[in-house]
Amino acid sequence: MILKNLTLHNMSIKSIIAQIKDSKDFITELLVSEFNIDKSNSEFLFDRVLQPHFTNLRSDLYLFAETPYIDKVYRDSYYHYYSSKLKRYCRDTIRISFFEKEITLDDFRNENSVQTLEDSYLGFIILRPTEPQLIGRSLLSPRILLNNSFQICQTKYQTTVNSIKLNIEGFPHSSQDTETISCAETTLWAIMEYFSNKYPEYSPVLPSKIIKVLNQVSFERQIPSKGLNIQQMSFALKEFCFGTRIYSKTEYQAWFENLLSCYVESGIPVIVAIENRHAGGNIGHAKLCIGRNDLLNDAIDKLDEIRNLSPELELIIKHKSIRLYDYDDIDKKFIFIDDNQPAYQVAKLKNPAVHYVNADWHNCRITYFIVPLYPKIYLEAFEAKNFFLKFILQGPVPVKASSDVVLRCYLTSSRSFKDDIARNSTIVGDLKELILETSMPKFIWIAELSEKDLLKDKRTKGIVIIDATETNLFSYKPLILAAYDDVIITFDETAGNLVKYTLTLHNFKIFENNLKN
Amino acid sequence: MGMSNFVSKSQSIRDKLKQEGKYTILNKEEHIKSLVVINKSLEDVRREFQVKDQKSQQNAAFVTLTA
Repeated sequence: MILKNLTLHNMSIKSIIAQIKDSKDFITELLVSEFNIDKSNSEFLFDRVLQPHFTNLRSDLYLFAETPYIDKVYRDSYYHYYSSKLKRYCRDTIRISFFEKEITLDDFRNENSVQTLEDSYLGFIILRPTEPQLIGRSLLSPRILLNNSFQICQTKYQTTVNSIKLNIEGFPHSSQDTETISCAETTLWAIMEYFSNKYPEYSPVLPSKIIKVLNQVSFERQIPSKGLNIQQMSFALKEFCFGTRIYSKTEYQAWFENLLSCYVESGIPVIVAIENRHAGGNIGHAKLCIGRNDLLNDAIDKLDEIRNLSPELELIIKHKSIRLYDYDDIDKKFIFIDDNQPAYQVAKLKNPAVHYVNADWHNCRITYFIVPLYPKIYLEAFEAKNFFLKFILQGPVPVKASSDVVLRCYLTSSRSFKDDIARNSTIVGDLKELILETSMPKFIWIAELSEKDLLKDKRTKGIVIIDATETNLFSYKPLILAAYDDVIITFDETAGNLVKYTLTLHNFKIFENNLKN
Repeated sequence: MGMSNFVSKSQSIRDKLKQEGKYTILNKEEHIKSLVVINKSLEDVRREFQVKDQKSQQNAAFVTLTA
């Protein structure tokens, strides 16, 4: 271990380097020296609270600790709450940064080593003096994990380590402190942290801002936090400029998980509410679903035919011997950001709390989800998916009899979509220009028409593009362009009618820019 | 630069396809019939969605998330 003091005004920033195998000694020493927690309690807290956050990390990591560190989220909680208590809380935190290569203090002062630092930087975790909830804000690259075979919503952040600006891609996480932020507030904070970093339309929020916004719809004080109901969470998101939608398991039934999967595939982090009240329990918890595991060919092979069809569509596919599958029905695991657990938990939607040690959680089920949509996305997933189904089965040019179709629906921005199409060398012929020169709104719904074997190769044989700002479904109004079975269907501006062009289409690579690893 | 200098590859493609007879206006009787069916069917979807959406919103007020 190397310890160095850097003088800054009348304070001293201390930095320490250690290998991850020494993390227990390293961190308990920091808890003792910086937070005045006695040694035996520090060791207990490490084993109970911190160790789970290190268990799933790679064994070749180097840790770089800096203290005192001013963390914006904890400092906000400190000034608005902890500083008003009798007991003296430390206002500073410890920041632990992770690197995949051995580092020295000199690397941070050598111009030639900075790129190596950048390449090997894997994120940070803040330790705050709110025992036992010591884990504060964190931002970790999925590359830090032993197993990272998944695709998630992530965005690039700039941070500093020992005065050097470094970039990191990941999804923000924090544990709840249970007093200023419970699961509901932490989830709102993480959503805003993600969106504000990714899109200029949104601003980051601190715990005090969330509390202030919710004061408008609360009849009691907001801190110490007693959690939030789903409507309050939705209200807060609306105040933070989202066009929020709430989906209930009771109402959507068989569509519920399918729609949740569709939004995740669209690259939108979704707030899920899990409860065990149906089994007589008293757990109600909020967490974020931010991605899914990499799909295996076996899961695609095992995909059953679509279940959510209306009776008239059932008749059509039977009569025409069409085998229709929905990509969102593929049996897969999802990636969660849960403030009771380390970042990037993996679980199936049917069993979302399987990774909890406390067995009381194991019978929790997802009962609601909240989608933070861009406010001008007027057409939501239930209507969009139904439009696609009816268009390809009952529309002016239904898919051919005896077809195999795997429908993959997602929302994306027309900018990302067109950029992908423009760079996609597997789209040959006239289709590329016909898509790229078509006017589109900021957000569009896409349905790719693939087949199981094509999908394993990440290819599609057709596509339908509809307008996410158009909720009037009358007379195919949302349709922008459809291309499958060697026809292109679109509106002819001069004829004012839906028209069909016949041309040979080839299969091409699917769109994969909504989720990343 | 005049308007005549604007380039639209997609318009050229559409014009070429029209000239080759690969263009059909979808306004025949069969298309109108399918449109009537799909309009009715999507109206049902709209009503179903509005009920699900309203009930989801109303019931959400009773679920508190604290854990």
